[in-house]
This record gives sequence, structure tokens and C-alpha cells, in this order.
Amino acid sequence: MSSLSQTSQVTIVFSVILVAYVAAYRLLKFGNPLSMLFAALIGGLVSDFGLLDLARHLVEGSFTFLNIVLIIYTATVFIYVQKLSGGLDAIVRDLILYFHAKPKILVVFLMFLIMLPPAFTGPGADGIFAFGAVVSSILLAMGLPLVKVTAFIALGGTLGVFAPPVNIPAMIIAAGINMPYVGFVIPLVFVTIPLAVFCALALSLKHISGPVDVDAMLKNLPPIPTRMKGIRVYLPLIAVIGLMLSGRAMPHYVPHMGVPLVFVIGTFIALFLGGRINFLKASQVAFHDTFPINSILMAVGALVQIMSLTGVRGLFVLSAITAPSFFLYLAIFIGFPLFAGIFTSFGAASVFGIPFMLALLGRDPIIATIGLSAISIVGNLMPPTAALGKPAAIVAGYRDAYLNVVKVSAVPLLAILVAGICLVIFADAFRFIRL
Amino acid sequence: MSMPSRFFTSLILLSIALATAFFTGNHFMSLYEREPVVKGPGVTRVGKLSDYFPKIKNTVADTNVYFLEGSEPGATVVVFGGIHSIETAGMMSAVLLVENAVVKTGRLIVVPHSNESAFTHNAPSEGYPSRFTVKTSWGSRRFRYGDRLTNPVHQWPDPEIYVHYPSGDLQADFEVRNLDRAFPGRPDGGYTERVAYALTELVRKENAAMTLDLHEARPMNPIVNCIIANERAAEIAAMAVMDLGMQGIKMRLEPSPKKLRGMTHRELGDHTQTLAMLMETPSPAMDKLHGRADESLILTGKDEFFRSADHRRLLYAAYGQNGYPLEERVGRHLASVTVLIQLLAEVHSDQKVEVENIPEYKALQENGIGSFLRMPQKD
Repeated sequence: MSSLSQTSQVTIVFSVILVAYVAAYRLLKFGNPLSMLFAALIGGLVSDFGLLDLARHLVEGSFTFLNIVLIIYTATVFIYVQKLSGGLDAIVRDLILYFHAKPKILVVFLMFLIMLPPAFTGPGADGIFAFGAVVSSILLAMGLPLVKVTAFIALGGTLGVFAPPVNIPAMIIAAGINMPYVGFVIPLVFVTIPLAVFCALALSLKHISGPVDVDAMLKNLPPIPTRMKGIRVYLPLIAVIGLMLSGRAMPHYVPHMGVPLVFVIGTFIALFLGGRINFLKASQVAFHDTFPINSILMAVGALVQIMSLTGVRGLFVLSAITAPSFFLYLAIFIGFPLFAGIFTSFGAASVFGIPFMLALLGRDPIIATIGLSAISIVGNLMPPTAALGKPAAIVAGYRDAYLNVVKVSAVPLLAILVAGICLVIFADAFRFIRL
Repeated sequence: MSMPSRFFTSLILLSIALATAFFTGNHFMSLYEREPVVKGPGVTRVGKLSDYFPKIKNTVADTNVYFLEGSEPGATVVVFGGIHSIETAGMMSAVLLVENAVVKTGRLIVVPHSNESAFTHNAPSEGYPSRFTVKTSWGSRRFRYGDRLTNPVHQWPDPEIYVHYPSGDLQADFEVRNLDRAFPGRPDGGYTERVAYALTELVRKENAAMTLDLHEARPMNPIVNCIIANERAAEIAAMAVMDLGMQGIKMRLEPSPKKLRGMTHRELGDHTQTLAMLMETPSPAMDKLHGRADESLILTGKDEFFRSADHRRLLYAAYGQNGYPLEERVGRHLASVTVLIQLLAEVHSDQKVEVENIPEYKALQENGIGSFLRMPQKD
């Protein structure tokens, strides 16, 4: 291959990776994660890297999403223990009793509830795992189909990533162009609130227009242990949210323990509040349920590492940033969220967001960065990684084809994409929202 | 699948996993072996960073501090390399100073591996080589490539959001392990803040008149091929840029942003007596745009993708006919160091530092870096 241009060589490597993936998945029936690993290995070998060198790269790459893997597992154990303790059902009962007369306000409130933790901490999984189970129970009780409930939770998580004050994709892009993360909060408020209200209502309006039968909703709830009342019901959630926010509020005084440990502490508290709980069984079930998404995350990390090693990532970046204006916008509108579906919104912000922003310099950088970050969060629902879509499915208990979640989310996702691309293209015109 | 078949499949997969863990584990541990830096003729003593902050003694954070002292009294200049280990030209320039420079007046204090932890790992998903080799006339020298950030083994987990101390500036989560976002540091902070604190103490206790922090940046980053200066150092930096221009070395002057916190040029300038500056040269390996990530990319900086990006005016450091060779990047750093040291005495007559034998820009291009590297002696 050495006589070929670099672009041709890398294109061949990328083609081989694709063919190897399809062959492993379709012919060898390896399953998604193993197929990705196989494709990565073949891609590395074709690029003339040695087997031992590639072993190191595959292992190293699989650590890319370690923190997310740990959060997904520990948070799932937390939710399962919450369910078994009866605490989750008690919270659902309380919220139904408080809000049943105003279902539209309730669904918007539930959307903001999921968005709250990531708005302050960053990762959308914080909101999905802290409140997703509660929200899914209420939405199911209100009559929303499970697939829409899953979409609702996933959208809440991903809008939480976007919501101020902490928008990590925007922070990553800003840091990449040496722009301080200052002046983002107010414009983010202006963009986030309408999007959140729209997404909540777009998914639920059809199902909540009729009168709410409170008795029927409460009757569907499982019996709640008598001990589960008052503050006991809310203690695990208060602990989890409190620990997350205290580290954020007093970062130089509260030791940072990491979100996985926060969920472990929340689980520990929940264990002693309700009835007897088989913790070993709960943790085994959680491991079983989270294994598919966690193995995909590890395989994606390894694949991305090989794509970086062989220059495939560079080819993607080059193609994106050297495209003429129209194609640049097209790449941002279509390519960016799709790649965020592989790299997650944080990864895509780093790999593509920074070069995109550099290609867009000359317009209002804060508004354009906010637009790019909006587009990147759409990728959190996109397969194969679906970094927030798949955890939402775990939380809601959705086990059918994941693509159905993407389908029912199409309108809200399109709204986020359109808002994002408008902010990118007309960044200067939208400068007024900076106030 | 039948039980025996399932058992053997599991056994094979387990064996592969164990073999992979054994091999890769050995590889990752080998990154803790520090490459030698040879004491050149100008080195009068070697100290430790823990001399300035004993809490890091016997930890991975401790690193060598090389003193090059002149026979005549004068001012002190501190040079940091390896604050970001993947910014290879910064570390290599510091190594070349230790192995070649001779001080006549004043003192030069050099820390080539400022963040030792960053040299002990590579960033997941980046696909970087672990080491690179520089050829010399007597053989070769191997150097670790590392990562921009502290190894998570030494500081983990990252918070959801990094809040810089003491400014309260908000930054992305991973920046908590970025040494050049941690200054002035805290004695009771995380690993990275403690290293920043130790380096700040070094600058403060050694009464450094000038501190030069050698870095590299992505060619697509507007802040490249430049000297970033704290406002107190703006005058001397501006003069240096002009002097370098007259030598045919184009460097720009960038003011240190007041709202971007934690960097040496901002915090050391604000919290100590020193004139703080940071230099950036282009490193294509750091840019997501790069093609194949191997040793050659680090050493030659040749990559067709950058040529394409340059044709479309997307780069802030022109991609020359020879790419971005390490010799050019190191030459740029050392020429800047040389000029700034000379100007220090001109601008502040009581702060004289005279240094000889710093490898020159032209000599580096002609002879290569290897010709300035000394052969390590076995102890």
C-alpha cells in the first residue's frame, strides 16, 4: 500500500474495518461488541501494526469509557435496590397524588427532573439513573407506551447534558479553541427551556389529553411496605443528589468521590430502609442487564483507538472540515450526531466539535459552540453506542429493538438538530440571546 | 452449545484474556521506567522537586531538578518541560538544555519531566505510540511519549466539572488532571494540584526572575508558534518575537488571557515574582486530524492530511515542505529560550544570566537532535 496516497491507504483500511465488522456480525455471528473488536484487530493488522502492539491498543482503548461503564452498573444496582425496597413506588405514588390534576405540567416537571442532575454535574446518566425509574413508572401509569417512556428518559438525560450551567460538550469545544467557558449560561437557558418543554409534550401529549384516573393509576402500583413513608422514602435520592451537588457546590472542601461511589452509597442507604432485600441477586441481575451496553462501550473504545491509530479518524475529520460551506453544514447536521452515536457527545465534541468550530471561526463563537453542542447531544440516542438511549432502556425496562426508541424520538431529535444548526449558521443573528 | 464445548470455549477465551492481561500489564508497567537524562558539562547539581514540597517525596510526582550554575552571580531562569508529556518538543528542549548548556553568569534551573505521572500512560482512544526513538551517532535514545494529563491511576475519578483553585473558574472534567490548568496549585489538593504547588514553590523559593514553560499545540489551534506572556512579561516577550523574526523564526506574541485560569503564564505571573511565559510549537500528533499515529509522526511531523488542511487555510502553523520535524520545533523553543535569556539582562540590568552552548536552530536542522544527545553511562 506504500505507493498509494495517504488518503487512499486510510480509505482502504476503513473499508477493511467495515467489511470485517459486517463479516463478523453477519457471517460469524459474533455479536456486536466482538464484531467491533474483530474489525478493530483486522484494521490494525492491515495497517501493518504488530499483534502485540495491537493487543496493547485494544486493551488501552477499551478503557475509554471506564467511568461511564462503572456509572451504568452501580446506578442500575441502585435502582434495582430502590425498586425492591418499595421506595421507588412510594415516590411514584406521592407524585401522582400531587400532580394528577395537571398532567401537562407533570410531564414537563418530570422532564426537568431528569435534566436537573446533569445540568449541574454534566453526564446525562446522572439524571437517568437518579430519576429515570421514578419518571418511567409515572409515565407508564399515565398511559404512555414503554418505547415512548424510554425515549422520554433518554431525551431528558441528553437535554440535561446540554442544559446550563454545565454543558460539557460546549466546554470541550470552548477549551479546544482557547475560549473560556464564560457567557454560556444565559443563552443556554434560552435554548434549553423551549426544547425541553417541546420534547416533553411532543412525546406525551397524545396520551395525556384525557382525564386522569388516579385510582386506577394507584391500583396498578405494587404494594408499598408500611415502613416506607415520610423521609425514609426520599433518603436514598436525597443522598445521591446531595452528594452529587455538594461536590459541585463546594469543590474545594468536599472530597470528590466520583458518581459510581455516590450510587454505591445511595444503594447502601436504600438497603436498610424497606423490607429485606437480596442484594447479591439484585447486583447479579444488574450485571446481566447492563452487560450488553457496557460491552459495547468497551468495544467502541477499542475500535475508536484503532481508528485513531490507523488514521481513519483523521480522514473523517479532514473530510468534515475541508468540505465547502454547504457540505460543512451537512456534515454538522447529519455526520456530527451520527459520529456522536459512536464516540458519545463528549467524544464527538472533542474529535469533531473542535475542528468544526475552528472551521466556523468568524461568527459568534459562544452561540456557534452552543449550536454544535446541541447537535452533539443528539448522538447520545444514536446507535451503536447510544450512550444515554441504552441506559434509559435499562432503567425503563425496555427490551425490544432499540431502533424503535430512535423512531419515536425522531420529532424531538429533529427539533434539537434544527435548533442547533440554526444557531451554527445564524450565530451572529442569535447574538441577542446572550443579553 | 454442549457443556464440554462451552467449557473449552470458555477456557480458550480465558487463556487469551489472561495472556493479553499479562503482556499488556507488563507493557503498561514498563512505562514507569524513567529514561535517563545525562548530566551535561553545565550541570552543577541535581535536586528533587520534593525539596520544595516534601509531601511528594517517594511518590511518582517527584522528579529531577537540574541546576546549571555560573561562576558569576546573577539572576535565575527556570525552564519547565514535560508539563504536558505529549508535547514532545518541550521535554526534548529541556533535555537538550541539561545535556548541553553551560552557564557563565546566574543560574538556569531545568525540570524536563514536570509531570512524571503523565509519562506513565497513554490516553485511551488516541492510539499514540508509547515511546519514540531518536537516533544518534553512537546508537539511539528512547523516550516515553505519555499523555497530556496525569495518569488516572494517580488521580481518579475526575469530577463531573473541574473548578480551578483559587479562581473558581469552571472547566471540563478531565482538565482536573491537566497540570497546566492546576497552577498555582494546593498543598492539600489532588495529585495534579500538588505537583503544580511544588513547581510554584520552586519558582518562588529559587526567586526565579523568569520562568519559561515549553509546550506544543495542535496546528489547527490559533495559539501556536507563539510566546504567551503574562502582562508583566509582555515587554520582554515582544522584544523576543522581534529578535526571533530577524533570525527568520516567526513567533507571535499572545497575551495571557485573564479569564482562562490555571496556566503557568497566568498563575505564576500573578502569584510569584517571576516573569512568566509559555511557548507553543506545532505538533501534528496532537491534532485529531492526523493520519497514522506512529513514531514517525512524532519525529518528522509529516502527514498528508495536514498538507490538505493547509491548502484550505485551516492551519495556524504553516505545513512546510518538510512537515513539522522535531528538530524545527525544538530549535524554535531553544532559540526562544536563548533570546529571552539575553533580553532579560537588557530589560532588567540587575538580572543577568549568561548561557553558552545551547543548541542553535540551524545546527539542529543540519545535524539532527541526536547529535546533541549524550550517551547515558551505566551507573
